[in-house]
Amino acid sequence: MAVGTLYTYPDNFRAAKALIAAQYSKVDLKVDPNFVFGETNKTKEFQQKFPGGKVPAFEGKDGQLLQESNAIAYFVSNDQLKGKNDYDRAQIFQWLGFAESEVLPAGCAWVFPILGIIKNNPSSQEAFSRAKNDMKSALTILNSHLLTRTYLVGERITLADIVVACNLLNPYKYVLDPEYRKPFGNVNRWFTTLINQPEFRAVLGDVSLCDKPAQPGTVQQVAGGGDAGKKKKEEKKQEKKEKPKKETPKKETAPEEELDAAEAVLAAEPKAKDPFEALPKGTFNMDEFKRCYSNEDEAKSIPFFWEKFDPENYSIWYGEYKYPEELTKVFMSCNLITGMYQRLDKMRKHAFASVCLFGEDNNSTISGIWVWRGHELAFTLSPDWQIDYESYDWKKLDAKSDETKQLVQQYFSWTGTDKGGRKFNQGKIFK
Amino acid sequence: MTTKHSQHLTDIAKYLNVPLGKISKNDQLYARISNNKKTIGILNIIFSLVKDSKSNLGGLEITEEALIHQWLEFGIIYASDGNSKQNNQTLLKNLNNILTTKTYLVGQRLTIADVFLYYSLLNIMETLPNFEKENYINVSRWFDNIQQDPSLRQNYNLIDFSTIYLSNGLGKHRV
Ligand SMILES: N[C@@H](CCC(=O)N[C@@H](CS)C(=O)NCC(=O)O)C(=O)O
Repeated sequence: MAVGTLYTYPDNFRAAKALIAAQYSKVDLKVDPNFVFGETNKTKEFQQKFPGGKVPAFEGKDGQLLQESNAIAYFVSNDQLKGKNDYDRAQIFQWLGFAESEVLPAGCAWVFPILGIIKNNPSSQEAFSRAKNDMKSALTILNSHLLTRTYLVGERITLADIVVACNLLNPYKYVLDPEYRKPFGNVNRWFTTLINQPEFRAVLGDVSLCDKPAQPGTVQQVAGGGDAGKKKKEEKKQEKKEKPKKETPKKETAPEEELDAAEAVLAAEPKAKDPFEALPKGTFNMDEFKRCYSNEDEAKSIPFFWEKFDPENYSIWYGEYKYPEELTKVFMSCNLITGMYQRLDKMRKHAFASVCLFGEDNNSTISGIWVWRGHELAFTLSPDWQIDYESYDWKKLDAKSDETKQLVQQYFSWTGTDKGGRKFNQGKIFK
Repeated sequence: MTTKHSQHLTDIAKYLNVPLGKISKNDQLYARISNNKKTIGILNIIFSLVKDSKSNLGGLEITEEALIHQWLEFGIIYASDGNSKQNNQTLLKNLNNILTTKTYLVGQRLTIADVFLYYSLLNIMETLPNFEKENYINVSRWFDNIQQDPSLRQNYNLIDFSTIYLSNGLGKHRV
């Protein structure tokens, strides 16, 4: 039974604290699917329960009401996360305070203008330049603490790690580029370990660390936090807009670390030829379609697809995962899809896919619609692409049939059910 | 049969909560007989213990398993008893470099590689003077984290690393 319901917009790093804590304590914390940021939390009913109307907000199954992300996270934590003795617990409080007063203000002042959450103006400009230095001070303190410790408190993961890491999440994703974070090797190690714990991954998915310094206004806003109300549909759209995330965070390049032999060989290898090169180009412009799909509603992008699709030179395929009985946790299955996408990286240029997961934990299936140049099973074109495809059954679809039209409609718009009637759960776009 | 590796095998079996079976040594080669099955070689024995325990400490896929393999070999070869002081220093120095960017030896979680190396390094760490612990600060941090698990430490002493924590800001106390 659920411990309670969390009200939040998707991908809220504050809500993530509670969701990760709930993973550790194995309690079922539900995110209210009907919550619309900027609407639900503006209602009288909501504000009666949660004065101020800020999110995340929590309503327990026994009617407990809580606001403030740290308090909610504490409430759903187990004993390990809360600390094993008074001294540990006090230290956890110390780090929560540090996270709120040293990390968060600097993080927000730096990241928000870049995500376009706050507009650039002279005062945000000033805060922006101060933020880089403030962040440096905070990271310096963390770095020396983590030189001799694996986790912040008591050598085990606690709420302190969860909260500080969540407050560093956006900075690590968007602004702490390799050069900036280089001096903070211990923090990098600690952060990388945390985001790769199954409990973190279940909530955050794959987090890739920033690889280029971002400038204000250059990153599409992906996190909420502005005041505009977001409809569910738009949120879905935004998730699609994000580029498929990398499977593992980029390797840290600490000064001591050298390329190992295999990496050196890879790096020295000449750029492989594009295996699609030999096939006729046709009239279908893959990039143009992908742009349309990312930016427009499916009501526009799907007709656009059919208008431009070139059945002479391109083909549409249905691929279904052969071993659904092996699929357990939804997040692991999603990693299966993103992992496959990552291994197919070089195929992106001339292929597009929407692969969906239907069902729930321990009862799910994976299937997708693929479009690529040529009429052969594209995976056979390159030995690099042959890791995953044999785990799927492939069926070439007749581009003219109504059945295909329906499948494309369903998979591109992330709706409907699989053959067994399992509901759409999550989708991933290969583009 | 009182050599160090057989002690490690006993410790690992106890940690994993599986019967060790019968361990023998012939011509430098260890063998384990358990459930009428014979396993030969320390490495294979360790993997067989992990398998018996049904834990995932032995790796979830081939690359992880291969890396674990590599670390076990490293432990067997370089972290044996009776090595010279110089040998041990080289060992610690290398390990210290590697652990600069790592929390665990393989991937981002505890594996049997950490467990085995912990047992293999116990003697060395126990006799390491405090100022040296500071020289191998990443090893110390890793070791201190690993040794916190009572089921892994069993009856071994908790090695004190508190002096190295004095050298930086927020103090760390053991309660
Ligand atoms: N300290 C609070 C901050 C919560 C907060 O600022 N929430 C923002 C979104 S990130 C909000 O709900 N704003 C809506 C509003 O102010 O109306 C926490 O950690 O939970």
